[in-house]
Amino acid sequence: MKRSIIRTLCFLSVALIVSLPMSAVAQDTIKIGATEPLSGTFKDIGERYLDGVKYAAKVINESGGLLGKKVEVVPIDSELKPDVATRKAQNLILKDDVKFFCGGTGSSVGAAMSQLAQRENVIMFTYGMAAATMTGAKCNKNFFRACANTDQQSYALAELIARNGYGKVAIIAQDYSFGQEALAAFKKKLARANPSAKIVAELYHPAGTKDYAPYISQIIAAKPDVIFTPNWGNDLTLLLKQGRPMGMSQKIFSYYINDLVTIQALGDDSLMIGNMGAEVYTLSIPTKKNEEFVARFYKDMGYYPTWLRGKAYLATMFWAEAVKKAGTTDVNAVIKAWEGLTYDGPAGLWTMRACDHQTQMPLWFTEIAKENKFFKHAFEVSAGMATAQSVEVPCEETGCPGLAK
Amino acid sequence: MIDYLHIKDIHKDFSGLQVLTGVDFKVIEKEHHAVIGPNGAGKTTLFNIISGKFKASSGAIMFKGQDLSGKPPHTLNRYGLSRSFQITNVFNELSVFENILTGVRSRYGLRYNFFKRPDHNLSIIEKTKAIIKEIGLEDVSDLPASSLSYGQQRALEIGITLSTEPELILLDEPTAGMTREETGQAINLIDRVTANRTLIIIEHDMDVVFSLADTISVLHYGKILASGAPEEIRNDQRVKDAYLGEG
Amino acid sequence: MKQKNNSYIGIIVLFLLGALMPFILKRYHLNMLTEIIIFALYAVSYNLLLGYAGLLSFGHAMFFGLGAFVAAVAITHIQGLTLLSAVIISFATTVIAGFLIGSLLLRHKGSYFALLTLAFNALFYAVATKWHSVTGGDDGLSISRPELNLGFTSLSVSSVSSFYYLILVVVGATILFCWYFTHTAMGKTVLLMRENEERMKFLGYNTNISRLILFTFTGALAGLAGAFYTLHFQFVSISAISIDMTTAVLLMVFIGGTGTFWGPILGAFVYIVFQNYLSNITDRWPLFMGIIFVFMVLYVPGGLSHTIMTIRQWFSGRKDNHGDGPIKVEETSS
Ligand SMILES: Nc1ncnc2c1ncn2[C@@H]1O[C@H](COP(=O)(O)OP(=O)(O)OP(=O)(O)O)[C@@H](O)[C@H]1O
Ligand SMILES: [Mg+2]
Repeated sequence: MKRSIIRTLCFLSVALIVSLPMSAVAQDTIKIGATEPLSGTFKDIGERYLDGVKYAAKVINESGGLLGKKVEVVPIDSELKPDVATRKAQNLILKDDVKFFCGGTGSSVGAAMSQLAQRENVIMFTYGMAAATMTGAKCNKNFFRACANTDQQSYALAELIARNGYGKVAIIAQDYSFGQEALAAFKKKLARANPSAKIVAELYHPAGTKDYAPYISQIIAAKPDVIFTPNWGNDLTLLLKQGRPMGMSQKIFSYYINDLVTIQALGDDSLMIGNMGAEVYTLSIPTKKNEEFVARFYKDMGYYPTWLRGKAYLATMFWAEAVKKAGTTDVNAVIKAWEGLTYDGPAGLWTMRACDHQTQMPLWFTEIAKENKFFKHAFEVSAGMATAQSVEVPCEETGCPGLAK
Repeated sequence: MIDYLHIKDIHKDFSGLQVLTGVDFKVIEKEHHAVIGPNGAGKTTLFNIISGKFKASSGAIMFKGQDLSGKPPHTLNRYGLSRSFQITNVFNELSVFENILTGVRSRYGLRYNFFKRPDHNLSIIEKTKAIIKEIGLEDVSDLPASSLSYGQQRALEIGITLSTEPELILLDEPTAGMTREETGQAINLIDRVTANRTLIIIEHDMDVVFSLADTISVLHYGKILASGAPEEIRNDQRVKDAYLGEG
Repeated sequence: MKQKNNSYIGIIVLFLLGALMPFILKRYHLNMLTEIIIFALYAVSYNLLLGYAGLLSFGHAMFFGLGAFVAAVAITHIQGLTLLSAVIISFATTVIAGFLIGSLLLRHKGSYFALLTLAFNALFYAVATKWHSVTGGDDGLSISRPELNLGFTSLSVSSVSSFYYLILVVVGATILFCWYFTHTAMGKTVLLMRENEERMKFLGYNTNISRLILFTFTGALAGLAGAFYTLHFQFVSISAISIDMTTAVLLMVFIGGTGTFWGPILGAFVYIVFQNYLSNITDRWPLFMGIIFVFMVLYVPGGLSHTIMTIRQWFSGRKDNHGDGPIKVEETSS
């Protein structure tokens, strides 16, 4: 009996050793793990981000690679669970010595990945996770953000509202940390940019609300000039679908207004036309470099690098610049190279700030219009930009103890 | 003088069905006491109450001056009371040895110990072997209980009952279903192992009753009809009418 | 006597073999082996409950998760806490929780008990999700593995191989104790209770208390596995306390089989290896796991261990009867 246990276990351990293919040791590629939800409800978002990262790798590889090596994107299905993402990332580190990770979906995944990066001394960068604390109180030297955080995005929208002279603003947000953070930053900036502006309504609703009628009546009753909301997904589409027929006719200033999927899902241009947004990357950015990028992407892929794809692409290119500058894939060298690095890409001049690893960049305004360059239905047109300085949060205000030595 | 065991005015009804209606008798220490009565008289029910399986609807079980009624079986076992079952109730998958061992180690206080192995304790093993020898099952000691013959299983049933070294033994129809020969052996066995202990035995077989019992109580329609020495009971007219006549 | 020596030699050989692994395996596989040992303890604890005591619980993850979270919270909040202290704190907590929950739930039998454990697990999950300030909610908690303080010296266990050795020794010894436990008075008592509880009562055993002790014990073992899970991943999230974690242990135990002590260990091995490979190949891996589960329950109800035993007997030409419960195996092993 006992002997059989031993025999079984001996057999199993031998099987374990033999059956598992040994991973290739030769480092002729630079691997980058992209943690995205590739299954489940948010699969569609994860796949668009991944698309952008892969396209960046393709562009890099077609122009001779990075440090002479090919960039290989390893998709990691995070299932939007931090434990799943870190477990798979950890395995990649152990198995293939992967040193670079990125991801855009799920602040909880981002926070866990950030900690893992610090512990294992690898680099994690994000092109989509917006929670300000990740480069604020919870910043660490192995985590970089190559997109705007909630502060910057709220600042940009407040700036836009102030610039257009709107005096009365109603705000509505999901009642959880993201909505609260977004609103706090918005109010702070609006008070500075236009001291005479008034918040006439400030409403919170649970995420996933189905019936917006009570909130909409309150907004209408407050008679605002415009409405600001960081809502996304169904919380944005339902607000529009239920609000417009009830007579909520004001322009909506929103975080995610230029999302093609949202616009197409709504299927009713009249709900969207006139609404405005601000993002680090939009299709309509009126720079020469962006026009070239969009054209090339369209030619290669047959569709546009809308929003998430563009954001992931830019961030990955920025990372590649850092590796190029470091001249090595050594993590400490890349961290050092990325700090203070500038990248002049399709979305203007980006600078990776050393103190908190938050990229400083301009934000691009968009307005939804019937006539646009890309689609037959309503889509974004360019509406100017907020300079990097105008949306900058000073190092001292981020809550990050300071990363640069 | 405190009675050794006093079954005091026990009533039991099963949701309306009156099974015991004031059973009352005494058992003297070291006495061998038989309880007889027709099928369905409530004999097993009485055992179930004495051994703690059921609670009496009213009445008391006084054991050496202490009221045991309502106490759970495991507590009663530790007071020195042990019972057998009318329908064989052993550990079928276990060997004879382990069946007996389970009772013996309980007697030795090795019930919940996280560190000690009962099969490593020499005195427990010796005791277990002694009981197996006594019930005549040495040859089948390592066989699972389920593979034994009926007579052997009944012997094991008695062996398990004895394994906790009780001072008060309750046997519920130990010879039921046995052949003549097996019954004779069983009588011998019971006689041997209950010497110097108190025994209450339920039996239908009058040969067994008269060869084992010092005292007989007759249970009839939920009450003790008569209680006394075998000769008295044999000659009691009421008993004859009610019970013995048919058997 | 010969049998006894054999098992001691077997154990020594196993540990020696385990000690060699860091020289044979790559870091990645060593890391997986560490995880397997931790989950083996979890599976063994569940088998003691289901296979030995016959208690079907759908809430084993509450203890695993509790152990995991308590370890993480203790390490986060107590400065300079050593690794073993964190483990002891979480072990003690699960002992208390197991005792309290067991006292409440064990009054109920069979499917009521199973459903109540499920409900309690859901309750624990809800608390872990909502109590954001302590558990981190959806974000989970990241920790750094503390040092191992041995009184005279402190050892770092941050490398894959040093942590593997720690797990091999500590968790390995715990599993070994569980095996020993099945031969002890208490181990036999719970086993026999499943066989014939009534007779046990009439032999002086308080079966209610025995069940409570066993429930507490297995809960604490699961908690211990949970604590080491936290230390292994240096991260814990609500997944650790979710129904998925109960499903995982059910799968491991069913794949391996409840009929033997070592079956669930084999189950944990297969489960973790499958999970690691399947989840890299397809995001539908839980579906495949589910199919395997259904297949096992329908066609191989005794699990892999049963199949192995059957084949073994076939080869040795011995046709002795083999039952479903661990009881039969006991006979051949002791
Ligand atoms: N748990 C129970 N619930 C309901 N009725 C019961 C229960 N146990 C026994 N009875 C009833 O009580 C009566 C007495 O049963 P009991 O088994 O005590 O009789 P007995 O004297 O042992 O009979 P026998 O000689 O056949 O063994 C029967 O009518 C039986 O149906
Ligand atoms: Mg009867």
